[in-house]
Amino acid sequence: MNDAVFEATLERVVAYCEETHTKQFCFAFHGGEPTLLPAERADRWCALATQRLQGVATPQFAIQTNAVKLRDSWIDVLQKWRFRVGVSLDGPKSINDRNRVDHRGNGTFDQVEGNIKRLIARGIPFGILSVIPLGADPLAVHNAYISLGCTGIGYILPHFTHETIHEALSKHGPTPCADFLLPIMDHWFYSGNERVMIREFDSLARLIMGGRSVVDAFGNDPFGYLFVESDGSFEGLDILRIVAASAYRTERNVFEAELQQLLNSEDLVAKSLRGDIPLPDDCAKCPEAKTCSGGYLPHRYSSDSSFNNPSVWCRDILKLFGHMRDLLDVSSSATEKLRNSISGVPK
Amino acid sequence: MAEDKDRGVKFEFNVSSVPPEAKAKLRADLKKAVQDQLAAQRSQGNDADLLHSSIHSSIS
Repeated sequence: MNDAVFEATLERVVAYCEETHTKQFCFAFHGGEPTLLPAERADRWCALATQRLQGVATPQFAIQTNAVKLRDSWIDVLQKWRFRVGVSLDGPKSINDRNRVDHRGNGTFDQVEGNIKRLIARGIPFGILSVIPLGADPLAVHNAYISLGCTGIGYILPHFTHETIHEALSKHGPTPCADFLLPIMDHWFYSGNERVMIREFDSLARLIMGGRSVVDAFGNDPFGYLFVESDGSFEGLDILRIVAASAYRTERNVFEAELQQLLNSEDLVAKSLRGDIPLPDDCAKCPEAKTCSGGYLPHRYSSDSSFNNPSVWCRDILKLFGHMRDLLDVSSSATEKLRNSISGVPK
Repeated sequence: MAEDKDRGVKFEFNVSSVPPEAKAKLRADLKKAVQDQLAAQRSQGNDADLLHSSIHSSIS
């Protein structure tokens, strides 16, 4: 992304915050690999965003990085602007290095671990984002992440649609995500005060206690983000590319369209931003209809009925809710009462 | 019990060994933590944390 695209984006953001009275706005750098951007440019953009949003909204900065090449100049930027740092990993060394290799074909885990130590030495907290490695030993994976010193972990349900899920289920059984996450959930619960934040568990607990999810895997809330590509085009949720390349694209860009114009259109991106994606028909009678709400949008897709399906991980999600309900001792009807008592949870 | 073969770290964990009263306290503590979190968010009137987490959920 060049300066012109960022500056145009920033003008759209300022206008949006002013119009909607939004008081906090998060700029998340991701890619590809965002640390390939010169650190000096990132520093300049953060300063510019802070300056332009002064008196309008508080900017926050986040980055999702593979942490393979983390230059000192980038670490300076992360520290200076208090970035929320997410590091992508696929598991401990034996698993990660099968999938994540450098241009010479060597595993990247050792480099990532070294750079994580540099973050820690500078007092920069970081979370780990990991796609669930189906079939792996859950506590071995979890313990490896904890050992790295992260402050939080996100375990992403792998991205499949109803067109592509069959091989994974035949290889790993009917509920491989729950099989992986349930032992970790027990560990998380019984860790008490030593508990590391795990987004998915945090969200399950929040939903069961009448609140809202902080992840898209459950809850079917409006997507609270929009992507600006390096050429300035607006795009929606990039994971929708597992459905079709066109599903996440818009015909608009930062040089021509205000953010509000995007929200008012009728394409899939706008609907997902507004929260206009209805509950799948098959979920209507489910006891977790108002908590799970059909699961993550891309995971609902089939060529026959589009997004009108429960998540491919429906059985896993129900197991996760069931186990969390057991741990909390909160029934579905109790959740309903709690939800009704929390009338002011922000939309 | 699980063993992280990459690090040689033994990780011991046995749910059945946790006394019921300890489990009840953990349950109460977690409920309170979640309720406090929801109340704090409500009082701040913003969902910045929600936004941040959602953004990251789309990145792998």
